[in-house]
Amino acid sequence: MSFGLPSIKVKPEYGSNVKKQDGTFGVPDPFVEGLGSTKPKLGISHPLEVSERNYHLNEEKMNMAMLRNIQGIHAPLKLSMETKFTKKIGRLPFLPSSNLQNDVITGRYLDIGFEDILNTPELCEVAGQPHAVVERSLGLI
Amino acid sequence: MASILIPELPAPGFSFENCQRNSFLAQKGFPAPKATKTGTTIVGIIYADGVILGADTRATENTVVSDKNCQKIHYLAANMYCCGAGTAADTEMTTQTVASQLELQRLHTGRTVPVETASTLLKRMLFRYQGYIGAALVLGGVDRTGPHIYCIYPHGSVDKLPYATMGSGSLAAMAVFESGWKPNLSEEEGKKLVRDAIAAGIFNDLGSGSNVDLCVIRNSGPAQYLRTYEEANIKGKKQGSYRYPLGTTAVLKQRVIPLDVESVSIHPVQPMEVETH
Repeated sequence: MSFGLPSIKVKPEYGSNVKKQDGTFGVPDPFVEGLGSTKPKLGISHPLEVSERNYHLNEEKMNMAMLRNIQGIHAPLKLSMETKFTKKIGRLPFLPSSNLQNDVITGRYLDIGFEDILNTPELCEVAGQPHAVVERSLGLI
Repeated sequence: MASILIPELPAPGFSFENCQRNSFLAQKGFPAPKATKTGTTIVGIIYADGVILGADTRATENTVVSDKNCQKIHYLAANMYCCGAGTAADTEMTTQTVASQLELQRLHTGRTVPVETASTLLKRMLFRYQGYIGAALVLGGVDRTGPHIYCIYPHGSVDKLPYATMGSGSLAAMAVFESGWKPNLSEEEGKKLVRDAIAAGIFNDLGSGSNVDLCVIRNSGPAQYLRTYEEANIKGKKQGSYRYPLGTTAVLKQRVIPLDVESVSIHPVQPMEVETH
């Protein structure tokens, strides 16, 4: 018997869902995307890559779906609202942020995993040009 | 969507950048180097007053012994230890990560952490990585509900048993347990049984060898880590000196070049001022 409730199961991501940002002539603009952008990155290099990229999102979705099934629509609505507040901090997009409030609300402040040891944001060697990053966040680029 | 001006910042955690390059190189005939495996015998039993964990101490790289005396019993918490088989680096990092998570949990709740928490954290982590983390573990500990032994497989499944063995020597060790284990063993009987099981693995399995390590975790009191409980394989001693006496080979010519000291100068070095907390 089906109650019409949302599914808890995670749907796998397929390679066909890749969207390309096209410029004026139907190809990616080399000034913005770079010279190598015309050859799309096809294929997945490791079976775990997709799963790892979306791990926390999927966990969040699963928990919200379970709450919706058990307690009704109000539970995920309230929690998602609070989580959205923690993501909208008053900082410009190119500035680094500790995400402390988001960590506390999701419970990640009590957790230590590979995200805290490997490839931490302090050691990142690339940075976006600030004007371009802000324009991208506003949807102008 | 990546671009030059707005590059995609890499997400923290594992990076899969080099996987395509690695598969391309393997195709061209340069396969990746093999990781150090532990090819092991690890065991754990429940006895009258707690648990006893045992492990051998050999680490192998395919057919070469890379470490003759490695430590396979890892610390998780004061009341729990974990033996690890499989890829050596994986067991080391997994147990260290879970040990820190358990410490955070203990500080958050203010109580000793139950063994079930450790087994849940381990199995969630191993299932998340779908078996790519090659860590097969025997977790043993004592909490307020009593002594527990769990065996955790690399893909994330868990078994709760009164006695468990893992690793390449697990069959030899399990044979000893199946004939020798009974409930409520005394400490001496328990240690002897674990020593016999590890010795069975050491002598009958090529992947296990060297010494026997034991760890006794009692219901009350600190855990006792007996590193090198028994040296099962002692290296032979050289019977005599095999060096040739001076003059065996005739000396044709000899030239001595003395090195003259031109000048001596002393520079005193001040240690750098570093802030210590």
